Amino acid sequence: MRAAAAGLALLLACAAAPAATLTLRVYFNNAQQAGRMDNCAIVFPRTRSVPPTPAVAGAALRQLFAGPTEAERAAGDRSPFSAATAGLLKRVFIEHGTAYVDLHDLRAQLPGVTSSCGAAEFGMAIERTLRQFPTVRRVLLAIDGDPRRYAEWMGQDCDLRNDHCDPAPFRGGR
Amino acid sequence: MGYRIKFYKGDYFQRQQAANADKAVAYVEHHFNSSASPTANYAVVVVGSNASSTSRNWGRWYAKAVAEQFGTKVGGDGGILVGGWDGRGDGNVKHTKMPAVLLEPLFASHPQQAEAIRSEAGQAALARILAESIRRFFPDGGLIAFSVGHKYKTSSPNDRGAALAGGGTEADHAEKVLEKTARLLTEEAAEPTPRMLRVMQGDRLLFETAVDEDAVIHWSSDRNLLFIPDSDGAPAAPRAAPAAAKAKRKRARA
Repeated sequence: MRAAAAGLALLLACAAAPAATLTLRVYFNNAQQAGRMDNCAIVFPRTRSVPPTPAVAGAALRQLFAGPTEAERAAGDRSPFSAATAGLLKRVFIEHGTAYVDLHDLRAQLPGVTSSCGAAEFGMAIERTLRQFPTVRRVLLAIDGDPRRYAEWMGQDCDLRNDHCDPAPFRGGR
Repeated sequence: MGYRIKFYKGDYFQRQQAANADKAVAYVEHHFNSSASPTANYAVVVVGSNASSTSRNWGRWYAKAVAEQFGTKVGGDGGILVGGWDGRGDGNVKHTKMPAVLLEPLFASHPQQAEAIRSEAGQAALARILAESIRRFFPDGGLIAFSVGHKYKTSSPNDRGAALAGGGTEADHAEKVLEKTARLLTEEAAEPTPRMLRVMQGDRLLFETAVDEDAVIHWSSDRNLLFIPDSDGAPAAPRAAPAAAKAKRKRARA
């Protein structure tokens, strides 16, 4: 009787326990897999297992910004991100389909990403990583809460495409 | 007639405004490309989202010439990216009133191309191609605006762009290429030069001859022969080499 009760208790505990890990996708370049050296916007998904969290966008970006693992690099994965940029994310929140990504100022650690190829690698990896979540339809970025600083760094104008670099959402948000 | 060169400094928008005020006839911003992958390599030119056909044709001509010289491919749409990738780089060139190009001839991250960027010969070859492109598209001379990518920005004075594989920075070497180009444009004869046919090994001139402006030049890869068809309607291809000579060459290769 006592054994049966213990078994039932264990069964209930297992059923109530949340999943041990959450599986997310991050995206990296791989020229060998792409089969071409002239398109920097081609990225491939890699999986990451993280502790369960409701803040999935932040968890995914933190994994992306840490860059490929040694095994992935050995298999040809490349990314602008590495251990040096693991702390790049300041915060991310999603409102009305837009992911607002605020970055720490690590421009010195990412000097090549303002070239046309580097921008494609950087932008596409972030875009695809966030768009795995159906609530994200577009992505806006800022450095230290200032989208204009990000746009200037990237040689982008402040126009309709980036909400004219409006800093207000980055100051508010969740 | 003749060319004057002015280097513009400050943030990119201010550089373009200053070039507009000076009534420059062409605007060149020099960068090098960069990738997380050391194998990425192609020549590309960013033109503004509002680029004129002159800017587009100039960019395509330049990218093709670089690709041919350095044995690489052209990127983008036939060598140009209109408006940059997702608007990135567009702001560097779209505010000019004159044709404008943002050059990314080689990859700073590609070890062999980085070596070429650091070398005198590589810089000289890039300078010659750029000078030729300016002479071709702006034959009447005038003020040419040069902008060194990343360097001299008021908002980010320490920016030097991408690191070259093996040492050095993108901006410092882009500046060297532009300085060499400036010398070629201002020190060479101001008179119109005839169209020249050149054979070069790296930046070393092996053979040079003037050809008719309208001549159509053909390359026969089978016969390693560059030829110009007779203007009187004679057959386009030159006469075949004697069979004996062909056989001798074949034996020599074997």
